[in-house]
Amino acid sequence: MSRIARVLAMTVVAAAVVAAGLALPASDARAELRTAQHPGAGCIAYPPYRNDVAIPYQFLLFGIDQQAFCHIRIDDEMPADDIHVVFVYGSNVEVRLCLHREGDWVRCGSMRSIGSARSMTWVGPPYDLPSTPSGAFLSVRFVGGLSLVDEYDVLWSIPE
Amino acid sequence: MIRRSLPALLALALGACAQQGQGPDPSVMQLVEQRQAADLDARAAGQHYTDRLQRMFDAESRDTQWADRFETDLRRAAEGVLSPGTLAAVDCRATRCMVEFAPDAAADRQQAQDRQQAQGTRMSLPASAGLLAWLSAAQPCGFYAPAPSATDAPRPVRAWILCEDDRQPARAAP
Repeated sequence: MSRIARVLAMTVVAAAVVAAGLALPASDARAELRTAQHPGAGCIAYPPYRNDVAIPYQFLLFGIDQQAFCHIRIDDEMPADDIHVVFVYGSNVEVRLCLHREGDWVRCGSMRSIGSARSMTWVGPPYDLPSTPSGAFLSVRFVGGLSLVDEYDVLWSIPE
Repeated sequence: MIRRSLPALLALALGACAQQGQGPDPSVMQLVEQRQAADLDARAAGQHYTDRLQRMFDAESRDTQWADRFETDLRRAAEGVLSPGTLAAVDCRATRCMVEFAPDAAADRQQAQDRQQAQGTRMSLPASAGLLAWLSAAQPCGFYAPAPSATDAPRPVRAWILCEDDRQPARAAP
């Protein structure tokens, strides 16, 4: 990502943080913030083998029925256990953030909704994990007619 | 770092061995051992975690009004989605529920159709994947469950619904 794009992304996320009334924990006062944007079209519809559940189009995901799972790119610089919040842009969806350790466990947070108007919600990571997570994803449920996942932006708070 | 780099390191080490006819690089083997130890630690931590959830659940007294409603809504959410008998047990207290899925029967109806459709591609999903999807869609609270396995579970699958933050009613089936 170019420097300009990065600054823009951070600005958008900072605005979203303010809009959502979120604050970083005091212990994260010296933390470094990092962001990554993911297009909705990268989400995987569930159940698979069906073409009437969701339609990815360009960068968008149109949801029709059932669910989708939207994975978050994890790497050494942006690990799953340092995810602070995920902003989800769309409409007619319910969404929750899940952390997992492959082959061992899945721990999901509570659900938040976006109504029919195209807007944003945020989901935080679940608390009290069994061990260090290796990955993260959003679990999205389509509700009320045609749903949409525009984009989801992940904000990491990396302790310095 | 170790977890994600391991497949590449293994491939590198094995490739190097095949070329040179030597054993794997000791440093790579050390990483493999570290990975295996980390996996064992994680498994033990998972067991401790479920034991702790069970203890917390046992210690929690039942809020009859909330628990009755949540249990009813969960069972209703299972109707027409999960195969009969899949939801073997539902037990709620004041902020937590324990849900147990029967072994083998733990497949949802949609998944049964999916399996048939997928026969042509010789692919099928393990039942546990469907259970996780149902758990995510059926109720609004956070939850903990074992990760889906590649094969159907030989034992009942137990999951925990954790509503400490938001005691909302479960969603009834439409």
